[in-house]
Amino acid sequence: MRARTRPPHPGVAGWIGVVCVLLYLLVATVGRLQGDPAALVAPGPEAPSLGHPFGTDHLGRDLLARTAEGAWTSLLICLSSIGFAIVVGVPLGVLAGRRHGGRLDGLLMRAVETLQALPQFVFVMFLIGLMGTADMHFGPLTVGNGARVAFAIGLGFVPYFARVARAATVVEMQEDYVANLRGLGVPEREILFREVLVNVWPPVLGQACLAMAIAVFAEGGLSFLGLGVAPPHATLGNLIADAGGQIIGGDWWYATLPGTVLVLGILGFNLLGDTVGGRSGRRARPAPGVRRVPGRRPSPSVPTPTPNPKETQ
Amino acid sequence: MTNYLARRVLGVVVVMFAVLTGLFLLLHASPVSPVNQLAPQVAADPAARAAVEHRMGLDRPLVTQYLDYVGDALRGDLGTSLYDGTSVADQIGRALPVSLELGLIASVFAVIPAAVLGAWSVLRRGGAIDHGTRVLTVLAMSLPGYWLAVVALVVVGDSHPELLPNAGGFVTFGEDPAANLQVLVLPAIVLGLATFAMLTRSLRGGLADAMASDHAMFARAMGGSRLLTLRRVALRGALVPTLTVAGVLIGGLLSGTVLIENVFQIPGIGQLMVTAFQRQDYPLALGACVATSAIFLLLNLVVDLLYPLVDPRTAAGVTGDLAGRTA
Amino acid sequence: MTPVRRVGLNRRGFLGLAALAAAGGTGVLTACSGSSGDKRVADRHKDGILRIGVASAPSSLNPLDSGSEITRWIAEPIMESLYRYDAGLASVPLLADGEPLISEDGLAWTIRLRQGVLWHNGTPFTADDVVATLAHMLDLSAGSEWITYMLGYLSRFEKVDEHTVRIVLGKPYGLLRSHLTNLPITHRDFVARKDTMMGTGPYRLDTFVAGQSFTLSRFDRYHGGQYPAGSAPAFAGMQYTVFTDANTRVLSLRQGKVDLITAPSFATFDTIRKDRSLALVLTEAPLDVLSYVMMRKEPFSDPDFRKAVALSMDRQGVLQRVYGGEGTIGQGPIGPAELGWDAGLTPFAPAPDLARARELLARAKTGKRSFTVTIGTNQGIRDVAQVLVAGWKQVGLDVTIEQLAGGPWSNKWLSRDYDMLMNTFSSGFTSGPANYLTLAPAGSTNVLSCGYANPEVDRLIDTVWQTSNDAERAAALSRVNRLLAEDAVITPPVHPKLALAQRAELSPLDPTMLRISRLDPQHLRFV
Repeated sequence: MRARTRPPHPGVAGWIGVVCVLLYLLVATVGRLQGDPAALVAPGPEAPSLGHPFGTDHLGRDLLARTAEGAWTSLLICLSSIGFAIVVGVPLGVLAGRRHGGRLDGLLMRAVETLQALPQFVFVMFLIGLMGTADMHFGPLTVGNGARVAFAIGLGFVPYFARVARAATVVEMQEDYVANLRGLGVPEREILFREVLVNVWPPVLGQACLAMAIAVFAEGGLSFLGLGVAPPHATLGNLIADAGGQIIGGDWWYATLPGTVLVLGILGFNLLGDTVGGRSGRRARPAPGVRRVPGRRPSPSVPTPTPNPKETQ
Repeated sequence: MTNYLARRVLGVVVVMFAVLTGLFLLLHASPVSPVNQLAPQVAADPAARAAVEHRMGLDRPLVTQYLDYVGDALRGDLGTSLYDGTSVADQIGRALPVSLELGLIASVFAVIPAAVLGAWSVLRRGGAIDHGTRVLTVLAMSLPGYWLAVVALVVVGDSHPELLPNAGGFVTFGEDPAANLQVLVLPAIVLGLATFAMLTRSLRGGLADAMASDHAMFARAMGGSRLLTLRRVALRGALVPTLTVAGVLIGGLLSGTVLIENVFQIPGIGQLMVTAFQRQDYPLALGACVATSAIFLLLNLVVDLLYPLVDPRTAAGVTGDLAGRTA
Repeated sequence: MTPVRRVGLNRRGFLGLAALAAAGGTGVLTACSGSSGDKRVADRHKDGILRIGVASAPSSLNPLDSGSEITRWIAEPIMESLYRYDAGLASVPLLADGEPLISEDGLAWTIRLRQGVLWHNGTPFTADDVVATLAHMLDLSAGSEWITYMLGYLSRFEKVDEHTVRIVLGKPYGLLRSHLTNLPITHRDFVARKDTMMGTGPYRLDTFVAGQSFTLSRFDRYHGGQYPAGSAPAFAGMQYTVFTDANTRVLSLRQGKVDLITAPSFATFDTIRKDRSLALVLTEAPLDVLSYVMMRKEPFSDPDFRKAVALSMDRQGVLQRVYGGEGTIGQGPIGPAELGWDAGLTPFAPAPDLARARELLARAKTGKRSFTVTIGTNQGIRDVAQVLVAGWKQVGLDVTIEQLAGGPWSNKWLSRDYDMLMNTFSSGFTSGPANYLTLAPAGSTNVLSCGYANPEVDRLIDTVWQTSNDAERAAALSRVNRLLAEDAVITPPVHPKLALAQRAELSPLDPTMLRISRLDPQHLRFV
């Protein structure tokens, strides 16, 4: 009962995911037209009005402009951290998975396990705690806290992507076509990077979308603890953290509107990840150029890793 | 099997040692120093700095400090806090049960509804329950816990003040079980929400796959009822994917406690860790991180050892295949 | 199509629906309701225990090491000093038995100690305890904040007899009396302990859970069992609970779980004011927004640039937006609750003078139009900095905010590698109704010197520390304040008020004691 080849369309949930992400980007762009997110435009917190559709924050700044800046900042931090994690983690995973159980595999996996011996958020917090929150100067280059948060979150995701890539590689290496190619005398490196890597990408990309959701949580959590991006720059995380103190004063819009945008983003990436992840991997259409032998089930004991988008609460 | 067990335990010990070494070196290589915490006028005086460093033993060679630390750690002594001079091991000993209790309650709050909803939605596939469950789980996954916690404090706390932290600090289960459980209800719900969502989805996915598997289809074709098939054939198949995410869930609970304990003022290991980092209390931060990773690795080991019990198929190729499991 | 496929489609469809539900769902959760708790308070007060909610836990329990409010608020009913502040904030004997005997040259102070005073562990209070306290303070490796005040002045101190100590100074030190009025005296065996407090006060520390709660009980043998007339403590005990979350703190007060809270946030002021069972207490106190500029390097080495920055500060904005209008517009370093305050000094208007700032900037020799302001990690100073940065932007200054935790912030101060430093600081527990430390960086030879070199200021600061004449000290402080404001060296945007909130069932906090940041809980009672 294997899935048939089907045209690549994202499905209803996928479309809704796309719409969510687009809405998120829409707020992020339209909000930029709202003016300077750091400018004091009102004497204090004001409820939403025509002039300020999202109201103003506790210092009297336009909340739409701040939410937009926050959405961009969060997006940038998360994209760069996931990008970093993929660039470092996937090659490691593929190399480890190539010789399943080999010496390199053992070594890499022990290293990965060591990195993962601390829960991810704790690990990221540890890194930020080590680096401090001050701007770092390397000659003319100044590394702000945003870059460091991205780096720390990214590093936290390296083991994760290494494992995803490794698991997928292990499955692929067991496929008959690999044995066939080997039999035909195709060099190992070519098999690995021409054939196997192509099949490793889909699960990685699917997980990347889900990891985006985790990264948004992590960034918010760090800001919540005061370890995130420096003010006056907004991120969705520090907006919500600041709003927390205002709830009791009755400023409902402050907590809810940026929160809704955050939820839109996370939901969008969750749905996209679900769609991409669901279409890829074992049940998916084989990537072009790779003949998969029908009926061969992947070993059930190599489960596809599932991320927990709430790992960082 | 014994061989596998021994290898896994040995692996955990090796990783623990690597973690200890890594954290120790990182912490000492970083620019943060406990001496930084002195009043600036004191820190300005090199003699004062040197005196403080000497008192803390920071002027010894790194190797000596490291060996001392490892030696003491093996004897269960993780040093003393730089702030109040109390034993780090004692502080962890007090905090850890609290976090574990919170995690346990959160798991209970997560597992029971997840099992019910997961099974129910597979039985009523495409029905209202199934759809409702999906909406609920995606929502639960997409709400940031730290925000939910803050909102819950205000919304629920105003009508049910007994659910909020009380004056006089946290009451442990040993002192007053009822009062203890009362203040843990809200944080456990917020903490367990994510676990609930993950578990429901994974259980439902596993069950659906298992129900669609050849032997389940066969059982159905032979006239077995859906419920019976679910119970007989599919349940075992569903347990493996669920166990697979258990590692992630444990990690999620441990990470979650850091923020949740912070908001709800629960004196667990997460709170201890945050405080230690904020104050740059070396020995405490190191000890708390080592303890957290020990718990994490141990729980993962337990999950690994449960695999062969649940799914005999994996027992054969245990050592190799399990390595693919995610954390 | 297999069942798996069908489920896949359904699942996506309904995952999608959840998106809409999520967007709506977040809006429902925010609400607020009325107060409850009068009954709870009446029940709770039967045990006679005063409950106080504080915003953070002390990092050190040793009151000799830490002059921070949070440590000292807990220490207030437990620890005593040689002298204390009376209702007029004059220094009167407490553990000392009468005024000190001062030698002709003013360098030798002989202090008789009160007899019959007991420590909480039952041992008698003697000269050894005072000597041990002073020795700990001067021990470089102990890391006591007090060392700053004593180093270079105190040359030796000794026990004359069981109940007399003599302190010998290296040079005249008029501030010694102030320090002896603020410095808590600790039992000789407990001076280095960081995990408990051993004092002679009317309450003793029974138990505490680090970071959470501190439980005190009445000490019945206080000063041998005799209380000064009219000041017998009303409470059987006290309990300090840490509520770090501002919402929880206010909720706990409203629900009657505590009688008094510290640091209610400005956002909750209206909520507290509306509730008749609560009272918002706002007092002028020695709370400072420290603000220093580094004058040894560009751009603040340029006096025109410095003045332009000071003139374009949005003082009114900070006061309104961050402190809800509760405070005073800042001019120089000395605030309204501090010795040397000069109400007539107004070089800076509440609103930024953008025109003059632009003029000065155009004239400035430095071409730099950007700098970094390094702040602490608390919400208040973060908001202050954000408002100021928005204001500076209007005159074309591009300012970056850098947030550092306590230790690294101090190190930055020490390293002199900063543009502008800001933090909040409370001096009530070290200087009483004054703030001497704030001025220190203006001295050209101070280790924390910001690079300002003005012989007159140096001379005046010496006078402040050395003179025994209060009027002369006040005049010197006032003059320093004016010079520093006019030269735009230390120009804090505002002097905020000390904010607290209490339940109506508790007698009102003493406004005089609040002026020196003291809660004075041992003199409160339930009504």
